[in-house]
Amino acid sequence: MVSRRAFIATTTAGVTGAAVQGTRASRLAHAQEAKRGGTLRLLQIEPAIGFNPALEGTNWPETMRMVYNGLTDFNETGDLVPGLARSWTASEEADTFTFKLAPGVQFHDGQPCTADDVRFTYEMVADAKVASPLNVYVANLKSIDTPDKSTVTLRFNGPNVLMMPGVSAMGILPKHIWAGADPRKSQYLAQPVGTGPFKLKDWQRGDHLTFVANRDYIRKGRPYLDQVIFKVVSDAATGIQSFRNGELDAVLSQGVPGGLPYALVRQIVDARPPNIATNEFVQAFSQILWMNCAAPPFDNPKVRRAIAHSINKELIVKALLQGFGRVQDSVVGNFPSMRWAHDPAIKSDYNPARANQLLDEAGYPKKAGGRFKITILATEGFRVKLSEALRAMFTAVGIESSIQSSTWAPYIQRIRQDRETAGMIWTIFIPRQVDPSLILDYLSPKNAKPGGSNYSQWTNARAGELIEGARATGNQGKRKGMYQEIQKIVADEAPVVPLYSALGVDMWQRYVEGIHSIDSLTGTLSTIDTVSLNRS
Amino acid sequence: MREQLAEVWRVFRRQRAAAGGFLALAVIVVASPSIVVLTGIDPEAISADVLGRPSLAHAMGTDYLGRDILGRVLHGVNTSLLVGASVAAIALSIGLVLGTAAGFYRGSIDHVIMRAADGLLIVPTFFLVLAVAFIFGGRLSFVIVMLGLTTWPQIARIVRAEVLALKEEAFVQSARALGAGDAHLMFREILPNTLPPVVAMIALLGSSAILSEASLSFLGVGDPNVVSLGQMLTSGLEYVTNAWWVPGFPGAAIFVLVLLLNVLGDGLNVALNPRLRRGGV
Amino acid sequence: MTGVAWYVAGRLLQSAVLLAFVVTIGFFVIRAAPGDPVLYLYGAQNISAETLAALRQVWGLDRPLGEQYWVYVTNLASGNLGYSQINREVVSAMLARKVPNTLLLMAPSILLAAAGGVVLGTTACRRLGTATDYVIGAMSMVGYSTPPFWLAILLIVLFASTLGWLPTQGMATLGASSRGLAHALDVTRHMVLPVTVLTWWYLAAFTRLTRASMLEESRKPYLMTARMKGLSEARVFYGHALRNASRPVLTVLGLYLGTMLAGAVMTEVVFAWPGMGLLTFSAIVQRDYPVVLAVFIVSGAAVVVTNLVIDLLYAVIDPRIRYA
Repeated sequence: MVSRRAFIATTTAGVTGAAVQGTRASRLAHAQEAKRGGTLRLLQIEPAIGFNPALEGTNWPETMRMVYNGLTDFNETGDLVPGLARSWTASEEADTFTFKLAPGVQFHDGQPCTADDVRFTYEMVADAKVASPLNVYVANLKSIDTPDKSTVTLRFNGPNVLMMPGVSAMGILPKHIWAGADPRKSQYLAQPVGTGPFKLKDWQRGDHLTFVANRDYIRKGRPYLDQVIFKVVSDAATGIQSFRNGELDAVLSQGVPGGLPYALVRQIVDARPPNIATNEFVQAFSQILWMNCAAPPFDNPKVRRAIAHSINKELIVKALLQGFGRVQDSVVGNFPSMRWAHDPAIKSDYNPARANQLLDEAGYPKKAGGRFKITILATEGFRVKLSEALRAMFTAVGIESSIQSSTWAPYIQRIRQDRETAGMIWTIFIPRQVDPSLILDYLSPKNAKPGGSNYSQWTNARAGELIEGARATGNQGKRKGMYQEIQKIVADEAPVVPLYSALGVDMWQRYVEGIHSIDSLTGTLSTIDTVSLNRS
Repeated sequence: MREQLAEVWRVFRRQRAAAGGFLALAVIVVASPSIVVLTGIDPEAISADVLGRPSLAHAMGTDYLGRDILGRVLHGVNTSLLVGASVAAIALSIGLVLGTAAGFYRGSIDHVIMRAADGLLIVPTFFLVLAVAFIFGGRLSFVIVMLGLTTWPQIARIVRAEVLALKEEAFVQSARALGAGDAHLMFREILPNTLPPVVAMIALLGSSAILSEASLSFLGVGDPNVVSLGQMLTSGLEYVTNAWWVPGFPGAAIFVLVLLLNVLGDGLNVALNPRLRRGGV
Repeated sequence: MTGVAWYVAGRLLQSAVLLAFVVTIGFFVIRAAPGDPVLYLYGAQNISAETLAALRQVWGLDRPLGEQYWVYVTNLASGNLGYSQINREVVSAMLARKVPNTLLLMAPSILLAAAGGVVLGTTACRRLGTATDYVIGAMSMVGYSTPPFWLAILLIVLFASTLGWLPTQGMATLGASSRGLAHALDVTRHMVLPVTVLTWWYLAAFTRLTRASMLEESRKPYLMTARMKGLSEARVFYGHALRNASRPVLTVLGLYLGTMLAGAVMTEVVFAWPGMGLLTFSAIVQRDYPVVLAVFIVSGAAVVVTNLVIDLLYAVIDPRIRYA
């Protein structure tokens, strides 16, 4: 959980220190007992581009944590703690952040990590030519100053509420390696040099990645493991079967290709095998249903509300997710990171009778062959099953639909670029919502142009005003008020229908210790340096 | 002609396995669509009884959306039968015409047609169909046409071989002497006599088309608007250890259909192919 | 000899045309598809339309199709199969790594299937009409009709999940040693199930084919003559009939090579075997054009070459064919 106060905290312990307080005590105890050595084998998705967090964006930040460190880090309860920076301060208006770096940190090649490297990394993220998917987190960056080798100050034009929870834990790149060349063509994408607890030894595309421990890691005595192997598989079910057979040591939620095969996981969780430990945890990952609001029939808000009433979200969570999810009522979900803004008064209402009524009022009477025909866009796999369920629910209120399935590339092309989505419905999964502004960006009128993220092309002036206003201030009280109003508008107009949020499930063989399921940028791998194998 | 048919039937009947297969297939071909149409089973009706075991209410259990699997399997069988029949029809029409033309005219026409046929047999057609279907979307009609277009060579080759042999027969010569034109000779005289070995090929073609469509669906290229056994198998795969009936019955259905068609094809081959018919050495 | 030379030249020319056809069709079909690798990688992220366009330019995707085709063909002629942006590797290197893995599955499968098929088919024919014949016939019929992906699932569930005798998927156990006898044994263990799946159908097909052609052969008059000359039944059967009956088997071997590549896709996907099949599948999903095209061309070329070799062998052995 990321508490707002955390980013104004200063600590005395820092990265190199070992002050024993509270949770640090238990960690130290674990450190003393933990067995050293061994190889951990994990199921993972491999990076699309390579080991550059600026380029991978939201695709793969957890695994960057293996070879890189960020200014901050996440601890086992998901709070921000010192990383490369031993302390930091933020201004009241949240437009200036100053980090003091810990001394003596070195990259894997022996070069020191300094404020210049931090500056270089954040400039790369903000650089329009690099087009980093993370640049939305530093969108209003004004300047980065490095008054000395261990101090960095980032200044923004206005409040930046995304900086700390969003990118402060992002891996820092060595300037001397990446400067002066096109990062997308760099050989270092596959041969990274970082400050992290592990070094990349070997990467066989489509098969596995091997990491070995960095024995010069700044946190003395860590990592406990000698080696970590990421096994890449194309099919989650076979991967999990391998895990059950003992061929893999752990399966972490965020590393499963195509999402968790829920039935299989349910079977494992319910069976409670003595040698396997499982953990379910809340994630700020929402499945949202979209409609094209610029063309019939979804240009009519009554039709959109009817759609919302016709969906039995409970059944979807029970049947398709096998219970590993929670119904989401409002577009600003009830997640730990956004609880302050979530409006609990907004509730889903599965009501086919009401849906029928609204459709009649909207001028689409029931007739043979359905009131009207729509298309449900899908990608193969889980989304097809979800679409089948939706189709059955729509049929129950007289809407005929056909499913059009494709692979991911043409799917997103049509939705985002071509915008040929009249009379179509689709779902997109929004991960890592650390702040309401991230999810509401998808509903902002300024993103309604082709190539932008407002896929439903919904342009509500008042909502737009509020969305931009809530971004422009750091005052949580004011923001809360605006978000409450926005949520009421969205529930009323229904440009999108939030369906559910997915629970994460981590599984590991019992001899693996130190795994903490964390919903954050760097996820469960945030504590990889204290994972150990207790095998006799 | 009548005498030939009677002879064929006699030999066929003696192949007990083939006759049994024919009967079973006939039952399925008639019963499955009838049951579906008459009872009006809705294969898409979801319910809260998710992953229910086979029981009296649901003879094959229910799937991950609470849908009755027996109803879905029947619909899937119909789809497979449709695919098999359509692909066979397409391959047959193209193959018959081109094979007859090639065998009759010889020369450059024959050359071109046979090179095209060879080419299609050699090009990795499965990859092509897979890539195209994946890229352009796996609509069922699309898949059927593509499969038909890649399997006509098998028919054409057989037809051509038969035409080559039949061209020199007496009845053709006498028809020509009586003034019959090319088209009449090709399609009225020769073609009907090339059919026996072709018929056997049809059954085999049909079964391989069903298998191909199921494979494509299995790899995720199928048409989600049509109930397909291959797609049921893929969607049900993750439940194989805790709800085996979800992928189990569709998979078995594909197996049974393909098996029956192959048995039928084999039996027809023996009955219709004169060279194999003579018993004993 | 000039007759043979002409034939060879003719067949070579044919093969070249065929290959060109394969390349061209492949190129235009795959490129005509909606969605491209740039969108595959960045489509779901917060990236501007201008940057997407810039990336397309960097990857050469915005030039006219004809120009791209020409560049591709000229590269191909010099052995350059292109560079995969998505996998960040030279395509020929990728293939060089994966092809041996697929061959590791295909070679034993086709050998087992062909050898086993000939043995079983001959036995069935020898004991025509007996229980042995029926059993072999029934088994081969079942094997011929089994959907390979279904078989794979059944085997995994039975041998790997339930009994735990064999690994579920992959080519080698993770973290295990990668050299020496231990590695070879490990890989062999992983090979058992996929090879079984691949062999299953082809064994059935070869059995049926051998039986049918042996049957046909055994009724030919020249065998009567051989028997009347006093040769033993075994000599007649195995010496003469088998030799002639094996010709269709060879022909079919060439054809099956092509279909076996298709079977390899399914098997490798189910077993997560890192070979050409799995590579093709992921490349199609990722819109990795250079890789999809390269696989298409290489497998097409392999089949063309194999068929050419077989045809040429026949031409040398059997004079009748040269003048067909």
